Amino acid sequence: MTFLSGGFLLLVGGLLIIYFALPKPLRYLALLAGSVAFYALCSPRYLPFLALTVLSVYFTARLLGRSLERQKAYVAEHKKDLSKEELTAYKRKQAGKRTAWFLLCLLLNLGLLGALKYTSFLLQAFAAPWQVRWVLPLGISFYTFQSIGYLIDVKRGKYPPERNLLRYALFASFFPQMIQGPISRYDMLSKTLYEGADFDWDRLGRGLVRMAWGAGKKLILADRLSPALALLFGGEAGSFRGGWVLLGMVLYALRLYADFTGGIDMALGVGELFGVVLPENFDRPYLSKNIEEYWTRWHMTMGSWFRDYVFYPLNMSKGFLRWTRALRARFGNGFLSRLPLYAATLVVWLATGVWHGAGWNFALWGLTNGAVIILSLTLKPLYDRFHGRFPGLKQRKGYGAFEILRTFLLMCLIRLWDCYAGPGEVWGAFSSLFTVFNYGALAARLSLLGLSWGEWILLLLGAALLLFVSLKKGEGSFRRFLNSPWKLWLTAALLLVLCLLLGAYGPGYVASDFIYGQF
Amino acid sequence: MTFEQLLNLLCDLHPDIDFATAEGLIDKKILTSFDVVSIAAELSETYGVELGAVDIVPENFNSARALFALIERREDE
Repeated sequence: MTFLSGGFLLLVGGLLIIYFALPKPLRYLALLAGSVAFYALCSPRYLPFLALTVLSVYFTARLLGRSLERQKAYVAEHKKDLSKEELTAYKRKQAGKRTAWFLLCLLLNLGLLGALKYTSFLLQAFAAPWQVRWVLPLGISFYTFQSIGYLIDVKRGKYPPERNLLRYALFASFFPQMIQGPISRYDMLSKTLYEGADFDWDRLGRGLVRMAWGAGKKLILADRLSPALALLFGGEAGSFRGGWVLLGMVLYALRLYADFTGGIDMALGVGELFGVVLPENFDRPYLSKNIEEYWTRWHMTMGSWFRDYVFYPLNMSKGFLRWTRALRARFGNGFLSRLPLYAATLVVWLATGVWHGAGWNFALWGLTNGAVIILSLTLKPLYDRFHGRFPGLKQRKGYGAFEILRTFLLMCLIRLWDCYAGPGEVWGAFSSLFTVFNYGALAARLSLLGLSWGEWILLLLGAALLLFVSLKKGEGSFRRFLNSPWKLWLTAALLLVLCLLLGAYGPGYVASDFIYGQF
Repeated sequence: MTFEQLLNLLCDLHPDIDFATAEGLIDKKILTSFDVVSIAAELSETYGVELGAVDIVPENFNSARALFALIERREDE
């Protein structure tokens, strides 16, 4: 079941009626029942895995919270009669216990995720004589990471654990975010998840506009491009090279953006219908001026998850700090003293790659991202020197456009790992960009991709509209424009009609999956 | 450690930022995650305070004043 299936829309419609019919304090139970129903309808076999994560994280968080409370009370009570050393020793002992519980729960959940997601790949990679085909619950990477984030926050004492099991279960399983995120934080999501919003036509209209906008991106752009891209990247080796690779890279960027942001728009739109504010996952990433900035604007909830729960802890760990100190003492403040920072970067990006899926390509995609970020950090002094010689260049619009285009093409190149089956094919496609000069002949042969001229024009208009919206969104002009109920409902209706008229439906259409749904 | 010493250290690390007046260093994305860990590691080393990942939150890194307050808290512990 995806956002675009009839079953999903029926579920949301029915749930809205039940939600607003219930008294406010009970409304979150409707959301929980809806989330369980959604998951069971996807496959009842998924439910035990989700239940295991919910229960293990809930009870471990309660243990951690109770331990922190007890410690606080003990320290307050014995502050005067115990020495500072004694209190420190007590705190260390308690922290050690909490770490043991935390690690046990982490191991259970990451172990489950790892076993279900990677066993088959590893057996195949190491040519094991047997194979397994285990079930991979929908959204397991998303809900596992969201749950682990919650557990770490409770362990750090950022907020007390949720006492109500049902409320916690809703946080971990809220259905719009199960398909492809976003990965929410408890302290943010809980502000609106349980409060039981009042019925509001404006908010309902805004939610529908967001859903229809996302559906349009998915149906009109992403799904229209899918068959053409399958042909471009899946054709016989060498059949689409040179300019075709460049065209494929750009079209894939458009498809991925339309697919992923479309799905997130739908998730956020569904949340808005119920008054639940899910975190934004994109901030006009294709307008980024460098790769580091890009990764703070694309899939933001995943990026910030890895930053807060892996990158910072790794860099601030005693071992890494000791390593940095030792390198500085020996080599000063140069490249070598930054080795720990670079190592942490590679670890994070390898983990990010592997999080996306089981396969060498995912790992290599992650490592390429890490390597490019490290390279750009290492070259920063040169870059600064260059801009020192040409002051004012950065402020020029033309140079800004060059930086945006450069970053866009760089990200397209890195995504070749997504597009082709293995390193050999990626290298073949990449090198053909500079060796096969068929760029001039592409326009005349575009029909090979199976899209009509009308469809190409539609894609161009769609891409131009996305760019226009990205450029305008920064000024909040759309929020200002959609400032009355009739404008909201009219826009939603118009977008829905456009989806119906222009969506890429074939004979026997079934709603296609979202790319990030497989992660 | 005085606030001026902290300002000097931060200016050595990032001469392009006016830490005396800058606010919202994290919220406005003036500092990247690499800048943040470099500053945290430098502070740990220079002032001998134990900073951890738990301390790396916008409230502590949004301004030089906030950083100074964080170091003072850690020194008191």
